[in-house]
Amino acid sequence: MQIEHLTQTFTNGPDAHTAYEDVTISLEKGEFLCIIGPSGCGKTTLLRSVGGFQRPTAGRIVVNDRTITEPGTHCAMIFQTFDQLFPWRTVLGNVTYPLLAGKKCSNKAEAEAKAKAHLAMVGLKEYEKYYPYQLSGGMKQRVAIARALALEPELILMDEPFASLDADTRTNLQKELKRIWARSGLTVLFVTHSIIEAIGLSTKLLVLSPERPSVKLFADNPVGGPRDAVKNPESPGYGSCWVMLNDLIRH
Amino acid sequence: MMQNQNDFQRLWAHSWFRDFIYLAAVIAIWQILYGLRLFPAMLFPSMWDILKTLLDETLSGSMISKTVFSLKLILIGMGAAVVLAVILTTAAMFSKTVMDLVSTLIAVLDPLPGIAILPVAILVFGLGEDAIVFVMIHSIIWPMLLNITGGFKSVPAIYTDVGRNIGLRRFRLLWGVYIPASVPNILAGFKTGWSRAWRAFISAEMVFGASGSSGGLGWDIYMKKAYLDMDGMYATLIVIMLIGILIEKGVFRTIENGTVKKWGMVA
Repeated sequence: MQIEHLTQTFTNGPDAHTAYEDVTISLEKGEFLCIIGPSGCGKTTLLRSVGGFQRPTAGRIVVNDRTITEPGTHCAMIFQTFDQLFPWRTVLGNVTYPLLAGKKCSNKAEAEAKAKAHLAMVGLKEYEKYYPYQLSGGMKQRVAIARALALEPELILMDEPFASLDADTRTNLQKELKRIWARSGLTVLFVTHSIIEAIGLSTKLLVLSPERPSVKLFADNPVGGPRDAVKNPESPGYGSCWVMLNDLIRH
Repeated sequence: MMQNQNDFQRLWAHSWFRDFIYLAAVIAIWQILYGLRLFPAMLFPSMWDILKTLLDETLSGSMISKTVFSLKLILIGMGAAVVLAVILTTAAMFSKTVMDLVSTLIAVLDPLPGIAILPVAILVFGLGEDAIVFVMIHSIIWPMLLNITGGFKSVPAIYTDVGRNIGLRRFRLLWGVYIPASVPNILAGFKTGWSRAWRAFISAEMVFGASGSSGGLGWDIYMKKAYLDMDGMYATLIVIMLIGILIEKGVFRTIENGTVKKWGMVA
């Protein structure tokens, strides 16, 4: 995936401003990129542009040699809000429907089998027949992850998906996400506010800033550790990485 | 004794049982008031006479034919209004001009009582069922459109984002996201439309009389008033109320239980 000279300016309304300017990065398949930065630096906007939800003012985004112009199943987005499931469909329906609507499966039986496998992967096998309102926030986010994974997208875009969860649930989901990611070879773009989450999950780090230049840092995550585990303070290089990111974001 | 108390509590848990008890209480109070002779018997006939008239008219078939006639016209009006509403809201979803036009039409025409355009309807369609159906469509369609377009406008952006993300566009986005997300509003629109249809129908019949050979329940009330048949008049009112309860508890409640209640989309 490549992002080339991407600029996003908002001209509508009284708060017309440029969210970011001239962002250029390139990502290999199988990377886990965490995008971090202070509020208002355009993290979510960048992610939405990659997803095709909005047209960049300048520049372009290329995924597998194809320029992104509109949303589609090639980029599955997972949002922060728990309300991203369709309340009128069961858990199984929420995962099955996109497979059929996105023409990833040709018939219902095939789609259901695939959906069931992905629900089992996120530990929700028993909850297939539940409706979203009957689930906790963490379970809803798991369903959203299963829905995105089942689509087998080229990219998974995650916009602070764990930010509204309690600490325990967040830690568990981070672990599971790393495990699934390491096994599947997916490419993930993950927006977060949290330095700890960024270090823990990523293979590459992108620090955005409201100042210019917009890209303060785009580098490999220097902290070592096994690919399928969340990095923790015991991982080599953790402390210095934390200090570096903290300095970049706070100053 | 204990056993009886449990049985009663179990029955009380059913809403139809509570409704039945409340209704029985109202009938009892009515009968007591009648017995006290506080009001002229002309205005306040015995409940037994009313129920007896209701039974007689039902058995003779006259009440049934008037009810069927009324329901037939109301269903035609509802059906036509729903078809029009579907066409207009679909067009409004895809064209901002149509949405603006529909919004303006709602703002201008919704406050206009159906009965107020009856003279126009009679001039255009003549005395007959067509004029009544026209008035009903007018009464039904604006609140329905108001609810449905309001529902579409208030669909959370997250649902449409997810819909677009999984590849839905235009008609498939409308069918896959906008319509299910608006079911609470659509149901509210149907409920309002249904009650407006009854009001329009009854008042139209009472203003210009029977539109067909037999006439419906509105005409029936009008005629019974003219002949001072108070028992019969109250019997007709009971029929109208019963139909209202049946539709509310039978049709709308069933649909709600199968949709918005099941989906947790109501508080």
